[in-house]
Amino acid sequence: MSVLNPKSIERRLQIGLTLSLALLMGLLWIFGAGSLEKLTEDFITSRLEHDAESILGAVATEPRLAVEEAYINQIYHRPFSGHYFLIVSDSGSELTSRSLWDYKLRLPSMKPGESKRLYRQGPDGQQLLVWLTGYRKKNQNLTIAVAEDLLPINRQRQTFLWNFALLSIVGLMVLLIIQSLVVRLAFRRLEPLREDLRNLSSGCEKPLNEDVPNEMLPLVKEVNHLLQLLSQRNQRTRNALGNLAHALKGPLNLLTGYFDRQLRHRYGEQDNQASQQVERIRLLIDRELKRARLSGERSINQKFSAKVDLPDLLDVLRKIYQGRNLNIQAVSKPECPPFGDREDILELLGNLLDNACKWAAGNVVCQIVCADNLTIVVEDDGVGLDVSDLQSLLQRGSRLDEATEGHGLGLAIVHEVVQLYQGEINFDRSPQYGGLRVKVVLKHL
Amino acid sequence: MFYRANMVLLLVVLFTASLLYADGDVGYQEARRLTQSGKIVPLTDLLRKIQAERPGRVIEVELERHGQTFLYEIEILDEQGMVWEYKLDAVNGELLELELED
Repeated sequence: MSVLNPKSIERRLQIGLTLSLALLMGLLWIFGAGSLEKLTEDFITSRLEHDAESILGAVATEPRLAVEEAYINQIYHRPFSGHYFLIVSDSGSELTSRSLWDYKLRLPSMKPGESKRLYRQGPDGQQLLVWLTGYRKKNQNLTIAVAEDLLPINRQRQTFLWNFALLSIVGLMVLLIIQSLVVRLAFRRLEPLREDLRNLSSGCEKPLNEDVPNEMLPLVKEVNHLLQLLSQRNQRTRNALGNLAHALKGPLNLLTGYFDRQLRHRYGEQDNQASQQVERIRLLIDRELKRARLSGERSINQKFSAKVDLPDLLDVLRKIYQGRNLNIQAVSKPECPPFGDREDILELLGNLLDNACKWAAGNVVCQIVCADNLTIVVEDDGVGLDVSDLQSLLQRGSRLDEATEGHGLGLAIVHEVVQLYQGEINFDRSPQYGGLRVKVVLKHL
Repeated sequence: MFYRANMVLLLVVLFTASLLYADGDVGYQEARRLTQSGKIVPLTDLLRKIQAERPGRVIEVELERHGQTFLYEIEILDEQGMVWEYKLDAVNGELLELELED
């Protein structure tokens, strides 16, 4: 990024404002300085013209060149006062003001009616503005030069210009500060948008709030459109997957039946293997269908809310095990805030509860406790497991009872989820209900 | 008679001398002529010398004839509002006297 093309919008605005204002102020300064100089010098010149005319009135040419002192301003008497006059006649005689004392000014002579503005070095380091005019009085051509020291007024002008420059710089700074504040305030309006986006990543499917600065609106609309599109596409994929699983279920059942019959008659090794593969496919499809049902209207990256999702899950389980009249309870205490990935937690809970339901005699109890970590305990009043079985349960895909379907795969998934959240899983015998007790502690939510 | 003639001559000589060497103020036009003929130092030179040690503005300048020599009396107003009177030899520019005006 070059200095003139930085990434920050604020910086860009600052550079733009600084350059344009500096240019503007520079032009103003040059223009102001020029006009001020012209104005002061024009003003002084007009004063000098009047003085020249007064002097002309006070000049006597006979018997010799002289001025009537009483008509002349006192300032022309004090030596080196900064105000001088000089009269030269065409006969060569010269008369100066007393203020000029012995200082020699070399000036050209003018024809009557001619006038001229000149700059000359004066006594005592003075800078003189000289107004020269030619007159004719009593048959004599006179050149009257009236001069004023510009130094005091030049100094004042210099001071004024410095003050102007200083004020411009201070003004520029203040403007930059104001601009920076304005930009920051404008960007603060984008904060809700950021919040929306953050919610989006944690699973909220609400579209972004469109109450944003006009400049940002097209972007926000684009994102909202994209969100809608993604959501629709997700839904379609999910439905297609569910439909496929459903459609496959019928043919697979037929195949399973076929192999069952075959096995009863001839016990071929190949048949046995094929039968096992068909069984695996059936389990996969079951799992997929169950998942589709369990997750219902899923969305991307939504968090698991015990309050909303747990009753739904229990409903599904109650429907699945309708015939067995199970008493399925779930307690979440204290009320947990949404945690984890909804999909993962549903998978975990669904599998644990499903397992418990399969083995339970009549009661399944699930407890969710959240403190620093999240603890999930699922108990049932089934037959429970031996110590050796408990050990092997931890291995991926191990199946304890071939007769009850889906066991091994479900626990493997449970295991994956637990690993994902850097958690722990424990199996033991429930002291209260006598069946299996599974305790999962999740740490990284 | 001869005595009277001698007396008249003496008076004429004395009068002429007094005209030539009369004490008193010299006007600025005379000062201009004296400066141009190089008999006295230009006022700007003297001022430059004075202002080197005490910057200030010129309030009044007088040129006086003292016998055969000329004397400049220059009043300077300094930045503290004090008026200083300088007495300088107009011929060689030497500082003769400096006093604070009351």
